[in-house]
Amino acid sequence: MSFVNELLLIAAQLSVLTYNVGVLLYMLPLPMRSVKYLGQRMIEDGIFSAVLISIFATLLYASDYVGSFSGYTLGDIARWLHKLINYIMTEYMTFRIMAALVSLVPGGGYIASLILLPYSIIMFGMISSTSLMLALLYIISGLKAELAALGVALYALPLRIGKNAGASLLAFVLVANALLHFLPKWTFFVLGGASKAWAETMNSIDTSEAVLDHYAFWGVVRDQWGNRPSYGIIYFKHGDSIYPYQIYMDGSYHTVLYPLQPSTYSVTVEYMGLRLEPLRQLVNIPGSLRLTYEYSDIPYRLDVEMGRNIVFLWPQGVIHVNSLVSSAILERNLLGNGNINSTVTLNIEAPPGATIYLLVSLPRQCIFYSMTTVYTVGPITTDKELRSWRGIPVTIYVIKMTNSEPSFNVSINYYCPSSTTPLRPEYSPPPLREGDGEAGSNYFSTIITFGIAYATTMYSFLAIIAALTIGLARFLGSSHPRIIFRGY
Amino acid sequence: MTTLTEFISSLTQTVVSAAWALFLLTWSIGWILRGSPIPFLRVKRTGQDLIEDAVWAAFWLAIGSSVFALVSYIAGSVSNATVNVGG
Repeated sequence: MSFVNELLLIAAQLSVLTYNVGVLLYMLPLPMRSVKYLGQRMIEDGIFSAVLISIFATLLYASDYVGSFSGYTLGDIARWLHKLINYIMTEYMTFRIMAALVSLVPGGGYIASLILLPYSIIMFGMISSTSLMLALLYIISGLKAELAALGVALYALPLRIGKNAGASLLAFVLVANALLHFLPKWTFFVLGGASKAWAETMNSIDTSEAVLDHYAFWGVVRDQWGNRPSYGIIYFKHGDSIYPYQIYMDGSYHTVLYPLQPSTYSVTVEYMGLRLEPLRQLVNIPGSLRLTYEYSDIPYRLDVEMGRNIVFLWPQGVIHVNSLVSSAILERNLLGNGNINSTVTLNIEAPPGATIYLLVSLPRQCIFYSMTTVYTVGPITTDKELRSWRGIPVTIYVIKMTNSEPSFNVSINYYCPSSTTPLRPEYSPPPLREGDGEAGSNYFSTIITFGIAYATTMYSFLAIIAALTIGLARFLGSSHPRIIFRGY
Repeated sequence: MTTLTEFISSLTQTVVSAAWALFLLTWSIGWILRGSPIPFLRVKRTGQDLIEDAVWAAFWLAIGSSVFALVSYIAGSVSNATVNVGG
């Protein structure tokens, strides 16, 4: 049994005890109103703490749910704060070393200490506020269930011994867990204002590199009928930068090794020598990402769905049609010699008289067998083109025909030897990311204004958490709420 | 931890049995005061109050387990509904 469940079990026992002690007090043969009043309150406390125990999981879930609206996870925010504190510490150390060098010169010590004093105050403000946030973040992300259960157990203690502390603790965990997700948004909001006010001095510090996180996400590439490409390449393109990622055998990809910066990207999929466009070509990161928590270290997911003109084939191959496909049925028959014969039946929609091109791209050891159509007129021409796609020999069959009906069926037969397994294309990973931006010219005035605004931002955020904690603790039944920390 | 929960539940049992004993005591004291041959109305009213309180408390004591079962049932169904809708 986990520690949280043990605490909740104890809390449940305590709530029954509280209820019965309340009844006992109510029953005492003493004609004293205060005792009877306490008894009544304790009966209510017992019932209310039983309610809290029962909705314990829902409370935490609701808190997580509110936090997920920010689009960040607590892990993202911890990484971001680490980056910030590294940056601040490096600046501080550099300045200390410079000051030490200056003080080697006779009389330089006075100058160094004069400059160092205001600088140190600001730096200490920045370091202490960031590390306080980081400590809170680790406490919340590591212990939120335990602390909330402890709060409920304290709440359930008889004679209202722990009711204040329990309600305050529970409220703190719920509020901080929901609000810490929004810390980067608050920082952008406040520091954005500061940089406008001191536009001339602030523009030299590049906060974007430290503030904006890179996004690692995963997803699945599939066509409209659920077929997935084995070993393709997916491209995310923004401006001149192109980031290719490998699609694995099961049709999934991830960007863990080279996470992407927040921006708008156009997506294309390269498969069997063809450039394929997905249904939704422009994606926004992080706007288009879904927070699923399916993997705790890659919480974001972005699925790529191809349009109605692309069918992925088994084991490796693709059909690209220049008009819409309304249905695609893929059948596989095992032949006597172990080879596999596959049939794809497509229902194609195109205006009568239109010329339809089908590009069927298969590995060279698979053989295009035959094509049968119903209700088609005009000559059907088939061209064969041999290509090498990233080390995989590929045959592309270009089929050109004219139809007479608004929709018709095409069955394409191909068979692959039993030895055919999907081949991995040669792939070069995206380039490594460049380092963080350097601080610019107008350094001192910038660091002072930024430093003051920064510490204010962090402490004001703590003040918001504290105010909401007190409110929620009152709501949960604490008459004199206590908060663990003070942001002001 | 089991020892702690056992301790709390034995404490609860003690409290419950003490409460039942106390019910008899309070109830009889109430009737003694109410039925006493003293012409003081205040004493009689105190007795009446004690009887009423004892009966109410006995009622809460008797339905205690039902109250907790009801709470966990209602809260449990609410939680399930919420989590299913959200997730």
